[in-house]
Amino acid sequence: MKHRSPLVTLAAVAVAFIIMFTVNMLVSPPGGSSAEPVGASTAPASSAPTHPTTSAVATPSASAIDEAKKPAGLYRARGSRTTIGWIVLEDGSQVGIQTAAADSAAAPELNPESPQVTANGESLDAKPINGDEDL
Amino acid sequence: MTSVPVPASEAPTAEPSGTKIGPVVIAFVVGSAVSIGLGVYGRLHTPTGYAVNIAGFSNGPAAKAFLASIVMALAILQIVTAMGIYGRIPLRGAWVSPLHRWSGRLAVLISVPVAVHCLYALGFQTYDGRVIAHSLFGCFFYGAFVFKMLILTRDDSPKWALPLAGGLVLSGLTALWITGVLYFLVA
Repeated sequence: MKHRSPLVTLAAVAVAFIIMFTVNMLVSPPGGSSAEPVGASTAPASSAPTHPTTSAVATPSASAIDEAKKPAGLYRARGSRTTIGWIVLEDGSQVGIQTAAADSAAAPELNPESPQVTANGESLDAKPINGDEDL
Repeated sequence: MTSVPVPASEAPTAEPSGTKIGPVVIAFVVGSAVSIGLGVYGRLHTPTGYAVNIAGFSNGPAAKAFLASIVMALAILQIVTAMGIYGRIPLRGAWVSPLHRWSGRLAVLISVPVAVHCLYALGFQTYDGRVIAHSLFGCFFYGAFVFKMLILTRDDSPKWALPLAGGLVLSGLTALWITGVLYFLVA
């Protein structure tokens, strides 16, 4: 004797799978609204607007990311009032932001070869960030 | 059951007394194909890192742990009612078999959102032993479930086939719960 109800159960489970997958594919991932896709802003800091935009990597992807080679990388300079952070890419383009108290502005251009900058009357040494510092 | 008249279209294809191994083998092959198919999908599909979830939970894993624990509780009900059906424990009554069927259907249905979240958002991963085991058991579970459902369609399967299939489903689920929920709760 053959029974059909197990096949109905199987079909129902398959339909449930299809519905769940379809719903998932129709719904966009979160962050699509909050982090608007920004074009890569690799413009040098000198030509950046007063409030430099940091480019948001909006799309998660499986592509491999190579390690940044010097002089590319992250740099930071700290003074008594001013903190500056730079992102330097391998092609030499960079973006930096300078913060003193609550005010942020575009950072002066960093020369990774001689990383000395002047900000708010202070002469600061920029140091590469390795990721193991205490913040 | 044999006294129930059956329409000609559902006439038995084999003598009720004889058992056949062929359909069991076919069911096993189909179940294995489902397992492999899920694994291949989970490996090839780029995980989105995000999937739709039921509301009211702090995050996806918490919702999955909750749903999976309901499934695990229903699975325990499954083995208890199954032991009653097979006379291993004194659990008799007309309600035992329907309870087994419906709790099983509910359990698998509840497991679907969990599995879809795993497959769609996370994929088949191999970055440590627990994750490999969880990925393998996840694929195994639905294959074993298909195996069992197909065996259920026939009365001429060997006596050992159905308990074996049910045991595989329950073992798979238990392994999933341990490598998933228990890890989530403890870690």
